[in-house]
Amino acid sequence: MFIKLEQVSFTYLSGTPLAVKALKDINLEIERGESIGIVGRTGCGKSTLIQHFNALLIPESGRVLVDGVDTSEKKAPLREIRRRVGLVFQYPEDQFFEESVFQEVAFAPRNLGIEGKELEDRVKWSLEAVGLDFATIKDRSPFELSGGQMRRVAIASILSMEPEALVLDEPTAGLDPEGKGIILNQLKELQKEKNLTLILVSHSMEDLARVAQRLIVMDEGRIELDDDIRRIFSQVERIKELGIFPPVTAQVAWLLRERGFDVDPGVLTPRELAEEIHLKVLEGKKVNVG
Amino acid sequence: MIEFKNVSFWYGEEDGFGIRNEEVLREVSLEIPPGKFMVLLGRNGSGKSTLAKHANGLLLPQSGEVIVDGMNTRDEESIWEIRRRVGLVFQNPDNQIIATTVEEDVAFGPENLGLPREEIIARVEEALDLVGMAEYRNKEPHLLSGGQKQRVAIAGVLAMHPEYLILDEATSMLDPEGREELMKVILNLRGKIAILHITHNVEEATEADEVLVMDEGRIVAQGKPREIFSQVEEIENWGLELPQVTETALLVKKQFPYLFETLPLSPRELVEELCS
Repeated sequence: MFIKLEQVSFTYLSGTPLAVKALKDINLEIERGESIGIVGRTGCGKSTLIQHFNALLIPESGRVLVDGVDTSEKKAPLREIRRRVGLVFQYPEDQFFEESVFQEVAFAPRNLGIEGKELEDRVKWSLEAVGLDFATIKDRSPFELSGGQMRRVAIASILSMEPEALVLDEPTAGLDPEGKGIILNQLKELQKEKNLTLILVSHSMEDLARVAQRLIVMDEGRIELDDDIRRIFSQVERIKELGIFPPVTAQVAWLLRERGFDVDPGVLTPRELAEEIHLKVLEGKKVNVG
Repeated sequence: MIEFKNVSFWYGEEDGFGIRNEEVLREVSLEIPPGKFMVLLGRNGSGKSTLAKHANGLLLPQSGEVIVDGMNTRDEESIWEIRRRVGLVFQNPDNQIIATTVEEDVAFGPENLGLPREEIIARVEEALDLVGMAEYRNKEPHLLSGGQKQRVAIAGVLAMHPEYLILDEATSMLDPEGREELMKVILNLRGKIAILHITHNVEEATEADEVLVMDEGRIVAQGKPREIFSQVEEIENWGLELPQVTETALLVKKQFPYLFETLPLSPRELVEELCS
């Protein structure tokens, strides 16, 4: 078990009249190498939850274990935990401050005491891991890049700490379909090849359908559903109550089921849907006609 | 009608050879007629927001003209009337609300027009009704969801009785429910007022009267959603994607070429054709 939450609760402005209970009794286990989507309405506690994964927030009650280390212990190695569980905030490019892409990505490893050839190797690997060409981009100002490139540099600047888990809050927000596609594909590849634990918060079910195997649905500070993504999208009524709409492909599958075709409602992509239509709708028709 | 006549815009100076380093709009000509629901698509940096900011004179063209119902945005005397007619709503729901109650926020614009009290009250009422937020009129804006805040921002614009509403990625920061609420409001306003909705979500373009595509500062395509999304190869060159339903139909068509003579845009269209 890489990250484990045991009965975690958290309250903002605790002990004041303005107290807001953001997490209520969360139990969660995340294995190394998993690919997880976290969804739910704005304000459901998603961002509060992920900040517990790398000890940016410490639970009010309950405990969080990162590779067995309790984050609320007095002597917990917080820097080490934050290196191992990298967190990419929303619109991370707003936090750029260095003059060049190289310096931006080198900032964190340099703080870890890494220098020289090793530093350069890290920066190079990180930029290439997000699909950017080291030689052409390293000397450019991070501020003059396109939106999609900026976002990738921001992700690279976390990857350069060689985290074991990467947690991203809305990594594709505001990006065009092309930029979005590149980022999702690169993340998927990293998860597969490096056995990186990948945790994405997103409002786009279509995006999550492309990368996540497991989906966690939150509502009002609680985990309401936690299951295989296909099984979750099959529960149309339940997830609608939680403010989630299944991807368009699953919506089509449901319409076809209403018409009496036994199409799998867990289809995640146009390709999967097309195959189901081929097998369950059109093949069947051929037989009927013949 | 908003008319863009050969509008170019660039940041910085032209160099000695007439080369413009950061040209964002390149000789854009476009007409936004009253009452039409248009969706503007295009990759990041293609010039969409810059175009939007030209529509009400927040930016002025370096060359060319923008004419709103006969008034030039360069004309300082007309600029306030132009801004009344062309309302803009931006991306971030937390940056656009200023007052302490919903009602006061919506009243802010009409108050500045110096309208009589009864007229202001009537306009606030009407605008909140149009976006389905009447029951929240006494609420504090910070207690609202993102989708509700954006609807209040739209009501604030509507209370000015504008002719044109421009939404610059107004749905992009919302959760799925908020997005759906806002799309319902847009469809409800359809025909009553011209709408230019800028988005990266191609699914939101499928119901438009007309879709515009920008790339590298130019309008590279304009037409009905079905015309635009049947240009399968171009879609990728423009940095866009197909609606998932259309993509599914194309994949099915590979094996069953006689199906989908016209490509479907909505789940219902796809299912109807399969079941017919």
